[in-house]
Amino acid sequence: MAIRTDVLVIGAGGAGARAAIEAAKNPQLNVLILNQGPVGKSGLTAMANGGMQWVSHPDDSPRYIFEDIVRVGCFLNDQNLIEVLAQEAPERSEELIKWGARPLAFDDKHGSGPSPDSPGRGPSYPRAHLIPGVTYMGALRKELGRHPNITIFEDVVATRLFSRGKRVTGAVIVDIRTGEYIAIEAKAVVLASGGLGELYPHSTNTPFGMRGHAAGMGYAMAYHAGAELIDMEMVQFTGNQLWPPWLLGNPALLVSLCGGQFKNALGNEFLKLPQPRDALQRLAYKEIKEGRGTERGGVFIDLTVSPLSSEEIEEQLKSSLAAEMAKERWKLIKAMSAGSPDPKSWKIEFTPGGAHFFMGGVRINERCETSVEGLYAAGEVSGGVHGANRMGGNALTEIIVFGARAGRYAAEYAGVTDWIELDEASVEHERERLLGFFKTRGITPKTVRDKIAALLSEHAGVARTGTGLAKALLHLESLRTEDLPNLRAPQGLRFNLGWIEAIQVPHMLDVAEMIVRSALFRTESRGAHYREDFAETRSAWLKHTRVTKGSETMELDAAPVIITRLKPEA
Amino acid sequence: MGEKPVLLKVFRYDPGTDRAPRYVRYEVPWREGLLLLSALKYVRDNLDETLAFRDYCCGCSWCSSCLMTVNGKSIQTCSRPLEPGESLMVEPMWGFPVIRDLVVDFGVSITTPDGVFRKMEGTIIRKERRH
Repeated sequence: MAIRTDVLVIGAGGAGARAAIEAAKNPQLNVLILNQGPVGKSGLTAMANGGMQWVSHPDDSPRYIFEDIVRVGCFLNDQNLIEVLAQEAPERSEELIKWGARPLAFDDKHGSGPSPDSPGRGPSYPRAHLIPGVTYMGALRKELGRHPNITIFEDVVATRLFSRGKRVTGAVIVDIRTGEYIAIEAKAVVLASGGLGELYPHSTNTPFGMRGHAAGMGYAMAYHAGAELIDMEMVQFTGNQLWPPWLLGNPALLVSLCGGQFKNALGNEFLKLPQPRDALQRLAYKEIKEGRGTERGGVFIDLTVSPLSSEEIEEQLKSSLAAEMAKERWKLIKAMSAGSPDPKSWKIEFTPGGAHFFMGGVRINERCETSVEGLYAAGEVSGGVHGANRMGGNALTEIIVFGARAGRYAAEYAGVTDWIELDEASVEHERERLLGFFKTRGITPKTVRDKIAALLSEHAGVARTGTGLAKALLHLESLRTEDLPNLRAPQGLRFNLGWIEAIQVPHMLDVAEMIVRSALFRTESRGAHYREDFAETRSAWLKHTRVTKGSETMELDAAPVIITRLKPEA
Repeated sequence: MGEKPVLLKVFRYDPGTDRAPRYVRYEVPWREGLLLLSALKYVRDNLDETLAFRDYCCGCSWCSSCLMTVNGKSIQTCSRPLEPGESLMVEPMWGFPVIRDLVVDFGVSITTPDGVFRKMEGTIIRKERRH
């Protein structure tokens, strides 16, 4: 027995919530939205610091923001999508504010020019606004509640999309609370399942090493349903704290704020600011790779050389936290560092390989249509918007702009089409697969996850080589043949997170393979993708890498980038 | 190194199979910066893979997904650093139905424009099967 809905939205972060709200404007339609945790208390949007960019300065214009995004994205962006983003971001943002997401400040400091760690990059005009993720989600959650035709399932995880021919038919979910298996028939599906930071050992998506609901399930589900995925090699890395544990995020900013130095384990300064963000990551990576890294696998930030006093450093640290959020965060920093209150005494270490954002994903057009009929995608799970590098402040605008579009066009489609019955055998097959993880002996999902993360970090991280990637591919293949059949979940159906992890692992392996194969395929360096063996950007590679599911294996080819207005400088 | 471990006395209850709740003791090695929420993750990863708790973290002490009752007080466990040798009673958040162990059903409530937490009626609908 399957549940039926007109529009199914997978994921209730910013993109999914916005899609559901838009689709529900047609009162004839029923919209069902799924979330892995309570809405607003889970997912990546809720943890966002809140930097958003839209045109609000009188001298600014959507044309300039368009050009900035394309330049930062190294021309790999589909420009038809950027036109939409630049045009519609102000309207969507104003609407979000109207719904109760009050911006904290017009952030003059960060909006007034290039950010301190990326000279020559970033926005040309002050246009940064701050709406912390929790506020942002609070407004969307309230708005979801205003529509009687929206049903929310919280604590559920979608495991598979079904398609017939090239048309989506529905999905299967597991109710985490009960362990119940539910098939859903949908006329249209919006995939808004977020990113994949959890695939890497260090990520800003997993604060304190906890979960961020960013295991990349959506990419794999779209892949198996027959969708095209592009630029799967494009992982945006940032510095990520290794020590002390209370400095969440990117401590490299402290160097520019406080006048510290970057030092390797031998105590030598190895780089001086200013450096573009990606160059900074690579220089730190080089130190570690050549054996001058710390025991934790990072490099040091030395604040003892700072001309500022300990009190002044505290002030800088405090002011670098987003205003209202700072109060709670600051309390926690003080409590955690009670044993060593002087910031100059902190032995700060960071790794350059913190997975922060994923630029690649399911290929969409400006109607958010994928290559599977009835399947729409929006937000981080989609590709093509940010190209080879995401300019700061565009994720939170992207998700409402494309979320709204996905909802609108999915609703249009659901309004003129009918359900297709799910194929009973496929539904049963998926049920057996999910229950098959309950074994008495085998390998824990955490073991396999850790192996995948280690492989990606070593070979598909900040700097990549053909030989390394080829080796990673072989290892992934052996995980597939040797570990996957022995994946074991703990017993019990109710809120069994070990089981949910086991369900995620095969998908994570698929996504890891997409990343590695795409990185191997792109024999150049562009934006976030850096190949030591092909260090130059090549104009011949101004195209997307594209992954599709072949009859037996993963298939790769290149697809043209859509260029509307701005041609790359020769 | 050599610091005394943290002792957690954790509420365990699976309404599907347990007749009554019970308390299980876990010893977690202390390390600098250890938070209660990460100590629970240590338990699940290393000592007892069946322990259920909401293991999401927004990292800002804001989302409240990790609310639990600790030594009788409701707190966000992501914002509770631990001392060596500390002994804590960890129970699910008060006033909400327990789904399993430390996981509760936060229910369907929403902040209205006047700032009051109110139960929504029939708008955000959870299915009957949840009750």
